[in-house]
Amino acid sequence: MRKEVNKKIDNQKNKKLEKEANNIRKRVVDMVYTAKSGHIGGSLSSAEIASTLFFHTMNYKEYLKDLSSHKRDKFILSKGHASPLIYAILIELGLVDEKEQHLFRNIEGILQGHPDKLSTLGVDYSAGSLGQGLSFATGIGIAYKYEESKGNECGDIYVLIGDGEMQEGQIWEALMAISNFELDNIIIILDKNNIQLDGKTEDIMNIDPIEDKLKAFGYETYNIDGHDIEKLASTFHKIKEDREKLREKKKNSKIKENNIKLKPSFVIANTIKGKGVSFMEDNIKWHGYAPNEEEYNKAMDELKNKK
Amino acid sequence: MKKATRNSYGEILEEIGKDENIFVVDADLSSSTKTGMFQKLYPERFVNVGIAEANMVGIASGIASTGKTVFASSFAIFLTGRAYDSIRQSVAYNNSNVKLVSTHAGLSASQDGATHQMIEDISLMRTMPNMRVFVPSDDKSTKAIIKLLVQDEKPAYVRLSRTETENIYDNINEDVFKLGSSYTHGMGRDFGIIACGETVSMALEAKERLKQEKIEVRVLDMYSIYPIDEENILKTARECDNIITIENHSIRGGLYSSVCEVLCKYYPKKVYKIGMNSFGKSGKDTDVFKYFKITSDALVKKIKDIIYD
Repeated sequence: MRKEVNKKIDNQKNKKLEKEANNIRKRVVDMVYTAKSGHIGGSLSSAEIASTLFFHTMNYKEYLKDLSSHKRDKFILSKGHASPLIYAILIELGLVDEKEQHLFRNIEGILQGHPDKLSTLGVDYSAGSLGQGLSFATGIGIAYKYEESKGNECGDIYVLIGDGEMQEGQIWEALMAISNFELDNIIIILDKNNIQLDGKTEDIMNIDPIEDKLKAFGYETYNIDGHDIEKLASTFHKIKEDREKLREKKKNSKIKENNIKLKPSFVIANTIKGKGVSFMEDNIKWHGYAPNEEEYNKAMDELKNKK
Repeated sequence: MKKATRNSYGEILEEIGKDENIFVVDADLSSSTKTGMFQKLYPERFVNVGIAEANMVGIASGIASTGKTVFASSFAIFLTGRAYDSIRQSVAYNNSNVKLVSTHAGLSASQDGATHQMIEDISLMRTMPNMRVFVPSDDKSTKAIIKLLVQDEKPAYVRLSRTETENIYDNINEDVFKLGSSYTHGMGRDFGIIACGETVSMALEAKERLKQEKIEVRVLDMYSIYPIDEENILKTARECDNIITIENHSIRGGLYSSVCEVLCKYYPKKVYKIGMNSFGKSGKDTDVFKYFKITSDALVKKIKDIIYD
């Protein structure tokens, strides 16, 4: 009963989504610079992911006037410190007023340091404490499966998590549950930028081999370049195709003990922290550090001149 | 007739559970918390997440975000202790329609011992913004509170017990119970005893025994800790010579502290206290309460000591 899946993207769409990703980056840098505070590196690394999801894969845009609809795809930013990312998107979509961009983390503004759904329209989850957003998404997945069993169409749930975040035990509680409950309406994306606050993830608490672990937990895994929009789009498309096939298979299977389990999907998006600004890329310094005026100007020049 | 409030919880879930908007989540303790009674009738709206309390609370919040009313249960220690951050961030800060109902409060976890005897949960939950705290004392009041909470969409914490207590309000109309209110037994002026949960039964027992010695006390069932019935606390302070609180909880941060906060604001008065000042211990529940002097005997003795001092 799932609605039609997205078509693959053409060159023109690709360019449009890249432009969006660049717009997002400009807003992120501007926001954090003005606030002199915020998590820039981890927001920049997810720009293509967010652009592809919000402006192509998800049906989010179609429900701007009906955000509370169950049919709308949900986006849970579990790595809540990447709030500039979601704020940039909401400003692009017109849900948040442009003037709020310069009031990020400011007592006079509405954009909180970590997303707050009660004060910011369009935010699906008030995040901040790592590891919790995935549990929240699990709950939505459960409720939506129940609603669909009653004949009510519901959207999908996309969750963006961080690699440092995967060190939190609660993430693994949620991963087990999502798989055990066959919640294939949840699509998890890991922004694997290999850096956390204190250094490289592999040095602090290595999470690899992550794909093996996820396969063992029952996930359909996809390991891709997180900055390749065409790849992101076609992966999300494939996820839906594969999912439909498995759902059909399970439905049509005559034997009750058929052992066919629906599988949730996990996209390992290999990214570069600080991507888009040359001196920030793959640099530990830019986890939660705001650029000074000179750095800001240099960054904005690069982003404005990007072809 | 004696019944543990956790059993009342199971029964009321069976009753209100026919509302398709209600979901219940548990973390492998459903036969102890009695949410299993709901599961038998409405398995499609019950979720057992296994031994993963933080995940459970997050899931509860996620389900609630789709418009449902969600009950999430575990032992008080694991719910408010282990999953504290999830409650704070995913429920309270998100203002989710999740009713957190714990069982095995304080010493009622009895033989499982100190690691299971949660004596700080009232303190933790009442200081949290957006959270309301209720500690009903018997079957009727537990069911009344739960039914009241289903009528709103805000977070709440309800603390229930494993101890079997008297059905205090069998002959009373449930309409008398209101969120933010309390119930007074008697009009005695020698002592005002303020209690909640299983200590209310203890206080009522003490009231009868003290009456025989011509000591007239009244008992306040403070089933609503936050919001608290300030008016009744003040009335009691004005009309009674002495006040004492008795709780199955730490003397720091719980009922005693709540009462003191009210009196300090409007009508400073000395408040005596009975409660826990250390971790608990393993034993049968009557033995454990006796060991830590949280009993009607201890209450009678303390009151007499103060009066005859």
